[in-house]
Amino acid sequence: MNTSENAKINILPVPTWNHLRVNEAVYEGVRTVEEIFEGLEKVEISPTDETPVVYDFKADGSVKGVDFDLKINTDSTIILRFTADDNLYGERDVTVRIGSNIKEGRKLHLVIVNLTKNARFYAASDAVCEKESALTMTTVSLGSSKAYLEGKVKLQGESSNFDTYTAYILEKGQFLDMNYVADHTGKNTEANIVSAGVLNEKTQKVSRQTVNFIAGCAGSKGAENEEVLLLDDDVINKSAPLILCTEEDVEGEHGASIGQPDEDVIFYLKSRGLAIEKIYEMLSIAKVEAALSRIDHQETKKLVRDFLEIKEEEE
Amino acid sequence: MKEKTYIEDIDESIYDFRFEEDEEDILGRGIGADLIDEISKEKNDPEWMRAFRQKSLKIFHNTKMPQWGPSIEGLDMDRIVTYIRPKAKMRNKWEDVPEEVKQTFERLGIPQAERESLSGVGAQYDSEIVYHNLRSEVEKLGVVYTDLETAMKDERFSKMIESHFMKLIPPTDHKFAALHGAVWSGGSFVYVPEGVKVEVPLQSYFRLNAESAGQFEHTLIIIEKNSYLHFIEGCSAPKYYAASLHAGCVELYIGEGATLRYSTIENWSKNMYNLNSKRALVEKGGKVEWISGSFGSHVSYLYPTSVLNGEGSTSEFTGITFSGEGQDLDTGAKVIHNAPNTSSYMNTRSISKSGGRNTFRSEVIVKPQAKGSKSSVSCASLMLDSISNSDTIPVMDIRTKDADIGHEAKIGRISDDAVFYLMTRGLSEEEAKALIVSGFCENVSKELPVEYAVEMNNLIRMEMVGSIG
Repeated sequence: MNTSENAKINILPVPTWNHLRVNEAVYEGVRTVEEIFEGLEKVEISPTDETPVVYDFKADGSVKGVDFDLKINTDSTIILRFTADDNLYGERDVTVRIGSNIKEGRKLHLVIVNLTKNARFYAASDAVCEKESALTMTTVSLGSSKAYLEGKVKLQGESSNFDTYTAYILEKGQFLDMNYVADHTGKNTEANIVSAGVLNEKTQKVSRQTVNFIAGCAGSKGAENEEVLLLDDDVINKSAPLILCTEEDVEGEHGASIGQPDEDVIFYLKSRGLAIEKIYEMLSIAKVEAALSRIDHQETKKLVRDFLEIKEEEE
Repeated sequence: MKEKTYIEDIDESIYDFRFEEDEEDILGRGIGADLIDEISKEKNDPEWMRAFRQKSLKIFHNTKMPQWGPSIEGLDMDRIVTYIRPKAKMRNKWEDVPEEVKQTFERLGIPQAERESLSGVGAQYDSEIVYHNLRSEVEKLGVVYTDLETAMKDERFSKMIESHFMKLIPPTDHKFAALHGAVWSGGSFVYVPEGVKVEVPLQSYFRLNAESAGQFEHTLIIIEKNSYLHFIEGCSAPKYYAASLHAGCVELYIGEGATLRYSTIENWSKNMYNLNSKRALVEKGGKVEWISGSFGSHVSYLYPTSVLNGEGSTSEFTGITFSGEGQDLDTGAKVIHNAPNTSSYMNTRSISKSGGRNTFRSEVIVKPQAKGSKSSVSCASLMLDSISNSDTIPVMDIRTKDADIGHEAKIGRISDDAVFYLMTRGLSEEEAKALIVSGFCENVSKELPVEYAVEMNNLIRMEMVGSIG
């Protein structure tokens, strides 16, 4: 199948130069986006109280993935955990679609944990925020030979809020492609898009972040931030942080820091007797721990730490 | 209710005058192989150039229009006049230049600038250079500043030009680079020998007078080891209803330890499609400094590119774009870090008003061999109303761990607090806002020679103290 016949996902809202290859991700072996989502198990989640709802999906080859319909009428936390059998070899597809409508004044904390090892993982979240509602997203992506993460939010209700943090550690040829888009249409809306991670040997990462201020969203604010540690010479890091604006009364900002750890930090830690390998390990884990600190669910934290073989500490 | 200062579009009237061109001067419209041959014949091109034009034409026909930027649907390539015969041969004395051409440049203040603040001046009128002059003391240092066609036929430079012409921006780069390769005409050739520092700037001024015309000048600058040059280009055209096209090409070769500052104040009329290409190749320890002010044009695609090819080479880009009614200006810069310990810095400002559209687009590529490289990108955008657009589209592609890359972008409006503070110091609201906008543009104006900074500030401020409402 030639590349032009493959489905295009994670599309940058405004295209740029083609030679940079960030305008979209190519999802090989499938012709259309609709085809990617065919055959998913449909699951509706409608929390009734603030107790976290946990959904575990184990990639055993029997089901391709899940199409979640989240009905948010109360403040809630939904934790979606994707793991793979240790004995599962060969690339499998794990596909997740998440649709949510967050009702007026409600808050949803959506947690996605990807520990799917050899899988090709694709999680696409599409949310609409009504007046004074909030979507907090925390994503930890450690597994997968290839992972595609997409988070689109329409902040259409006045004073609605989107706050997302994605943490990743890529090793041994892993590939991660992300696309986060906040469309501000309501007045006084806020978005904060953050990703932080580490690239080790032969890994590749593409990050797209877009804050889109649409005329009428007066008083809105949007921020994007990215921190990437590059720990090997054969890595590829691509970042495309967009700010689109058709409204005068807004504040948008972006900051990125890509490369080696800060020299002062390294010097300090070395002076405390730590070897450089240990320092890199600590700094890598710190990115994930920052994500875990947002998740109020011990079992999920343990799952992630066990995956990373981190010794659990008293909290 | 908030009051707003109304900031007028830049006043183009000082540039908006024209003289009639003779129809027989127009070689032809559109782009065909016969016309390209006629241009070659008219210009007495060497054989390699004739073949190069034809090859470029084929590439042009086989290359798609860009799919990613502002719309260029209004550009009717079949109507564009690609070549206009010169009214006179190139002159080295101002008094020998034909009267109406002379009047044009005098109204633009070029001879006065030459007298007061430049080492040399080149002036292009439509398709050809009509005047070139270099101060004798600079010429004695071995500096060459002439039109490209003359240099191409000079045996001292012909091989140099053949080996450098469109090697940095090959016709395969994009559709309008191919068009340029086919129909280019005019432009400047500058050569600065090793160790020579040209303390006072050179300037080229490009004036497009004819309606529905294209200007395709080629600027080729080669500066040798440890030399220094500041080159300034200015552009303007009267306004017509039909679209005009500027698809020039600038290639800069910067030797070891040399520094080239390339400043542009672009104020094309607002029917102009400005699809210009600029690229610099910087050798070991060399430096390119781009200063760019974009004020005119209906549509712009403009991204000066620095290829940092030598260890320790540096690029600085400082730019400002002002987009008003009917303008869609897509500007920015590109840097390719191709060698160890290279560094790049981009600092841009954009202002959008009255439905104008600004896009800052950039790329920073750090190749695996560019260990120890550093890059910093900072862009700020100011929105003056809610019918305008301002987009920021930067991309970073980093392929070594040993790089230090920073990026920051900000978008917003004039701070109420800053206006309030200035008003407490006795300024009116409109003066306060005008002052803030001027300060916002300071990054570019402070980098220009004082005469040009004044001109640029005048462009911005001319109508800024307007009515509140």
